[in-house]
Amino acid sequence: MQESQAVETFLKEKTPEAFSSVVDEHVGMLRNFVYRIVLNEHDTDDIVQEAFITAYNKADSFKGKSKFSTWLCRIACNRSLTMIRNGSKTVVTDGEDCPEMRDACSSNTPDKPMINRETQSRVMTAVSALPEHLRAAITLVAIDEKDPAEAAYILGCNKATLYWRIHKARKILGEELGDLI
Amino acid sequence: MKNNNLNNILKDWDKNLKPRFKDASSLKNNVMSQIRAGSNFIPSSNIYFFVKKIYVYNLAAAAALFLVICGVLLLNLKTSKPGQATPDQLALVSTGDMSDIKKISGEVSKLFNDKVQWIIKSGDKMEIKPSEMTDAAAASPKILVRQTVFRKTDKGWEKVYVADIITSPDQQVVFKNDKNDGYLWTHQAGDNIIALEGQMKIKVNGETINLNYSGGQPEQTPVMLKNIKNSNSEYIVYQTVDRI
Repeated sequence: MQESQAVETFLKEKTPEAFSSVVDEHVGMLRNFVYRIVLNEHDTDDIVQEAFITAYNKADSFKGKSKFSTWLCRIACNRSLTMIRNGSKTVVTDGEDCPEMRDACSSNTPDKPMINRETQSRVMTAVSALPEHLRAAITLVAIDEKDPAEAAYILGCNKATLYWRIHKARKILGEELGDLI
Repeated sequence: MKNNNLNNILKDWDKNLKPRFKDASSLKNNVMSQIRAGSNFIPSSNIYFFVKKIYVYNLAAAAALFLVICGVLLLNLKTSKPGQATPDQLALVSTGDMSDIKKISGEVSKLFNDKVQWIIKSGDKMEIKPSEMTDAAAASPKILVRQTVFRKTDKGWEKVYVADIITSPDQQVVFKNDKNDGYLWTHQAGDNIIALEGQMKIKVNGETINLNYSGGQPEQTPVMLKNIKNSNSEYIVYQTVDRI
């Protein structure tokens, strides 16, 4: 697996100094990934923090069978699903009190397509209502466009289960958002 | 097409998410301070002797375990009969079975002008449900779901019930007869995997076996759905799926 310079250095030296660059390099990606599962900024940061510390402490168990970033996502995903199952709530919003939805209506740049507030709100509600393991599967495959084998590894399940979860998520979202599709 | 549209909607939704995170540097500081404060990584060289000791213990334990396994295997070799097939082998759909199923499916479809929702064949009994679907949907490739129930006897596992359910993907099969009661739904998920959701009761030898499952299953690979043990009998249920 081709790793970045920061990851290569950390895996060789395994020092806090080397890990600091790994955090810089992955914090944005990991926050986005976790946020889509837990839909809550505070929980996201707690999980990302724990994931980095776990990755540092268990660096010896990383065998390079996947990319380091994939392994980090797996740790974070596992923690996210556990946190949700243990009772930490995810934000289910109708969009009215959600700043990102208000902003979405006014921003219309090439990389931020115009999507009306009502649509954003409906998608948010539908995605929030999905069971967490289905939400994690569909966002990994439909948004991140992860390869099924990699997505299955991150979720800690086999490919058959991944396909099933994606199918189930699509079915539920299809029922909720049918007129938009 | 619909999947692509949904993907695009999700991507747009994601692009417009603007979570209000704290400054990333404060998160990084928290991580680094916790790492420095006590979660320091132990370099491999420092734990060499500890690991070596553990390694020696593990090696001894592994050797002991190996001897025990060899003993058990030898005992099994003496007691098991040569050529005895296991339930997962018996639950496979043979080429001959598949050819018969194709023939039945083809003949029944012809009889009903390709409008058949499902067929259940168990022993010499067969049930057919004519369909209201459009021609294209009804004529879509069919899926075979074989459910096999085995009972444990002194001679090994005995096949006591086999049902072949021939159905169209994405159609719910609802059946109720003297042996089988419930529903089954299938979907061709890709990569030779069939997604299934089912809930049914199978009545065999006075026992009622309740099945409730959902998940993906690789084609042509028998999967054990249930194992039931009671005071005087033991049953296992296998399911095999395949495209027709």
